[in-house]
Amino acid sequence: MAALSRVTAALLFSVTATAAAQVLTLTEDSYGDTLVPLGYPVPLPVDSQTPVDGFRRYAALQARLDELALSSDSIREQTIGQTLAQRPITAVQLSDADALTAEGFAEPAALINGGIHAREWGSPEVVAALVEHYAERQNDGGLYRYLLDNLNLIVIPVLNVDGFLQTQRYPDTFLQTEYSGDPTPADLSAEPAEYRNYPRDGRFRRKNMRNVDETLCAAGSTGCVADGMLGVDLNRNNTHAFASGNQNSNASGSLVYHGVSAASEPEIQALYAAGNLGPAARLRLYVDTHTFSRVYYGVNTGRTRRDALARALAQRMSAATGGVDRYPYNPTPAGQGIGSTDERFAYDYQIPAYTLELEPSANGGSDYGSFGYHHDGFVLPASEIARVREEITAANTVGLYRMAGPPSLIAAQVRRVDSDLLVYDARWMRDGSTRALTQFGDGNLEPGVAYRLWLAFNKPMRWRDPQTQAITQFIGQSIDLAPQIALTGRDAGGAAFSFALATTAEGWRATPPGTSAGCLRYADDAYQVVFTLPTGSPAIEARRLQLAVTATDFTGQALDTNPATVADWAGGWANYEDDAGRADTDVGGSDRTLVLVDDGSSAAAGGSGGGGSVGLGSSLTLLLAAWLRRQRAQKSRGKPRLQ
Amino acid sequence: MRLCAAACIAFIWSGGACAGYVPRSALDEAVRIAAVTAKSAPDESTLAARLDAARLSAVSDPLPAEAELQQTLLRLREAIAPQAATRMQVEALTDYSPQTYTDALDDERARGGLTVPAFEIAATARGTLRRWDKAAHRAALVSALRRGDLEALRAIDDAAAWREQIAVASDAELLLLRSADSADPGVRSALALRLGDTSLARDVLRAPATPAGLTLLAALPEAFESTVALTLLNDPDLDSGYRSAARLAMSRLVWSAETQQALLAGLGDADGASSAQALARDPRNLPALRRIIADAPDDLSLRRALLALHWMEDAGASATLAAFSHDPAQPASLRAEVSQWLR
Ligand SMILES: [Zn+2]
Repeated sequence: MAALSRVTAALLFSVTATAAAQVLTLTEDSYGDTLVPLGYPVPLPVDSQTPVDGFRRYAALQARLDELALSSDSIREQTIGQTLAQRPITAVQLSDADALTAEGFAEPAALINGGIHAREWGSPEVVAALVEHYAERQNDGGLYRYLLDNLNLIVIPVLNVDGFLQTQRYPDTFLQTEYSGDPTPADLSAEPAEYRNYPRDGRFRRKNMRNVDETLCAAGSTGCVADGMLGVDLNRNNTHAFASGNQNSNASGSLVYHGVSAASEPEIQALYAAGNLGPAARLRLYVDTHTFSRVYYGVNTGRTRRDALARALAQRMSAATGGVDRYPYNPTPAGQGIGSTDERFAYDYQIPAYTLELEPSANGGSDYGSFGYHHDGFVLPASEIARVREEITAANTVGLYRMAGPPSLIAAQVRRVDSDLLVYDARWMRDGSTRALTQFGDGNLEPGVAYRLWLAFNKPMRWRDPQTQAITQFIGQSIDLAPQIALTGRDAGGAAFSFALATTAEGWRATPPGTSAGCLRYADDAYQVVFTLPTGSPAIEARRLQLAVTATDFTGQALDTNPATVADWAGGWANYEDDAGRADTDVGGSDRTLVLVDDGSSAAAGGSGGGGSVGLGSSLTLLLAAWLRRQRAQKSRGKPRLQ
Repeated sequence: MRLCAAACIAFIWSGGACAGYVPRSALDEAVRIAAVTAKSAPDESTLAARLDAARLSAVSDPLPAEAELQQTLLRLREAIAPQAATRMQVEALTDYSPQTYTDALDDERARGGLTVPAFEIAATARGTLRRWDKAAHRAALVSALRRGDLEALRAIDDAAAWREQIAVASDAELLLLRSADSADPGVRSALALRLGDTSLARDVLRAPATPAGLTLLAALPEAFESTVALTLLNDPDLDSGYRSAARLAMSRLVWSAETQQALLAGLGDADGASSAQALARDPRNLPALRRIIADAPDDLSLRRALLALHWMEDAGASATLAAFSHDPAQPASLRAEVSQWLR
C-alpha cells in the first residue's frame, strides 16, 4: 500500500504537514500528490455567448450582454466603474426609457448583482440568465413587459471582473496554503486560524486583485511573487458595519480582509453607483448572488415591518425554486454586521436585501456524489447549472414582481351582453401623485338580463402555463386563482345584502388591450365575468349598490383597499390600506371603492370600506358631461346617475 | 441539506454549543491523532478492522471515531486490490450519517446557525470505492483489449475508465475501442480526438449538447487541420446548443478567407453575435466588416458588424465606429448606441 498522500491529509485539516503553500490541480477522479479529485468532471470556462451546460468565459458572457442591449430598447448597458486593472464594470438596466410606471407614477427599482466573489462561478451565470430571460420575453405583452415598463431593474452579472478573470485563467488549479507548513507572514498573524488552510488564488480566488499579479504560483518557488494571499474581500468592504464582527480581518492576506477603509474598492463603489441608477431612493429589492450553501442570508434591521416582509419575500422566492425551505431564510440579528453588501442596502434603504447563496447545500459537492473536498461546493458540476439558472430566475421574478408593488383595482365596466351597452364605467386616473376616481353610469340593473363585468388591475394578476396557456399557479405559489366578486349594498327597503358572482380562473383576460374584453395593459391584468340577477334580487332597484372585490396577485399580495393613495415603499408598504383602512399592516384587503348606486352613506354597505370616502377628481364634471353626451347618443334607457 | 437540529441551531445562536458541534481546535487535534494511528497500521486487514471498530465506537464517542474513520479510509484508498471484506467495510460507510458537526464552511460563515459535518465520511467512502472500481475497470479494459474481445469491452460500463484508457491506447487498441460503439458522449469525443475521426466528431456535435461535446468542440481547432475543423464547426446540422461555441471556436482556426466568409455569412442569423465576436478577434477582418457596414445588407448584419468593431479593440475599428456615429444617413438609434460605446 502506498503511503498516505500528504496532500489529501492536508485537505482534512491535518496539522502534520509541514510543506509550503503549493499549487494543486482539480481532477475528476485522478489521484496524486498535487491532485484533488472531485468525483465529477472539472468544469472549464466555455467560450459560448449563449447559455450552455457549463460556465461561460467572461468575454463571451459580456458580449452576450452587449448583443442583448443592442437588440432591445428596454435593455441598456451602463459602465458603473472600473476595476483596479482598469477594466469596465458593466451594469445592465432592464427598463423602458421613462422613469414612470404605466400609470405615470415614479417607478420603483431593484438591484441584483453577481460575481462579487470570483470563484463562485454559478453566480454570474444565474444573474446573466435573468437578463436573458427578460430579453426573450420582452414582447410577451404580459408579466415581463409589465416588469420592464413598471420597474427599473439594474443587474450586474460580474462585479469582481479582475478576480473572475483570474479564476478563469486557472480553471483547474489553485494555490492552497497549509495550516502549519506555511511561513506565516507577519500580516497574517491576525487571521482567524480556521482560514489558514483554505485555498486562495487561481480557481479558488475569492477576493479582488488588489496588489495581486496574474501569475499563480506557490510562495518560495523560483521567481514567484508571493501575492496569492492578497486582495480585498468585497463582501467585507461595505459602509455599514465596516470592520465589525468576528468574520473580518484587517490582515491583508486574510480571506476576509476588509480593505483599508469602507468602500475603498472600486468594485464596491461601482455597486453603489449602480444602486444610484435606481435612483437609490426608489430601490425596493437588493440581491447579492453568491455560492454556496443554498440559503437566503438576510439582515434584520430592527424595523419590524421591513423585517417581516423581507422574511415573507424570501420564503416566496424560495418557494419558486421548489420549496419554501429549499433556500431557508437566515437573517443576521439587528445591530450585528460584518460589512457585507446586503447589510448596506438593508440599513441604508430599509429594503429587503439578501445574500443569496446558490446550491449546493452546505454539504458542498457531496450533494452530487462528490468525493468530499472541502471547497468543492464552489465548483458546481457543469451539468447542474442550467437547472440552477432556471430555478433562481423564477425566484428573482417572484421577488421583482412582488416588490413592484401590491395590486390595485383601477378600472371597472358593466355592459349589457345583448347590446354591449355600457351601464357603468369607473376608472382610477392619476392625479399628481395620487389617483382620482371617475365613475358614472346607471346602477339600475334589470332582472333576467345578462351583464358583463370587467375589472382591471395595475399589474398582471395571473400566470399562464407557457405550453397550455391555461391560468395556473406561478412556480411554488399557492393562491386562489379566481377572484371573489360580490354586489353588495342596501336594497330598496334599506336592508343590507351581498350577492356573490360565480367566478372561475378562466375569466382572466389575456387578449390584447383594445380588443373586446381584452386586458387593460398587460395580459391577465383584467378579469371578466358574466352575471344575471334573478327577479327579486335585492340588487334590483337597490338604494346602494357597490362592488366588493377580493383578489391577490400571483404571489398572494391582496388588493390595496384604497387606490387613491398609491402604494409605495417606505421601510414597509406605505399607502397600502387594509380592510380597516389602516396603512401600517402590509396586508391589504378587499376593494369596495366602486359604487354603482350611491345613497350617500359612504361606507354603509359592506363593512368599513377603506376607500369609501374617496373624493372624486375635479376633472369628473367634464368627464361626466362627455359621458352624458355619449350615453344620450346610445339611447340609454335609464337616467345616468353621478356616483 | 444536512443541518444541525433546530434546537441545536437556536443553541448556537445563543452562543453555546450543542451535542455534535465541536470547535475547530478539538477537530484539529482529533485529526492529528487519527492520522498518526492510521499511518502506523501495518496492513490492509488492520485498517479494515479499525473501520469496523470506529463505526461502533462512533455511537458513544463520535469525534475521535469519525476522525479515525476518515483517516483510515484515506489510507485504504491507496490499496491496489482490496480484499472483499475490506470492500464490505467501506460499502457500509457510503450512507454513514455524520454526528460531528462544525461551523459552516460556506463563505459567509458569520451568519450562524448552519452547520456542516466535520467529516465527509460517506463521500470519502464513495471516493474510495470509485477509485478501486475504476482501477478494476481499467484492468478489465486492458485485458479485453489484449484479447480483442469486443463483447467484454462493451460490458465495461465506466466512461471515466474508458477515457483514461483511450488517452494511453495504441492505434490498434483505439480502433477496437471505436468498434465497441460506446454511446457515451465523453468516450465518443475522446475517441474522435485521438483517432482524428471527423465522422465521429460530427455525430457527437449533431446530438443534443452535453458538457463533453462542448469540450470536444473547443478542442477541434487544435485537433484537426483547419479546413476539416471549419467543416465540422460550420456544419448546418450542429445542435443549437453548440452553435455559439462553434462560431467562437472558428476564431481559433488559422485565418483564411473561407473562415472569414463563413463567419460573415452568419452575421445576420440567430448566432450572428457569436460570428461578430469571432471576427473581432482578428484585425484582418476589419476591411470586410467595414464593407458590411457600408453595404448594410440587412439590419441584423449591420448591428453585428458594429458589435464586431466594438469588440475589436483596434484604433481602426474605433475610427469606423466614430464615423458611423456621425453619419446622418445612419439610423439615429444605432448612432446613439455606438456613441455610447465610444464614450
Ligand atoms: Zn461569496
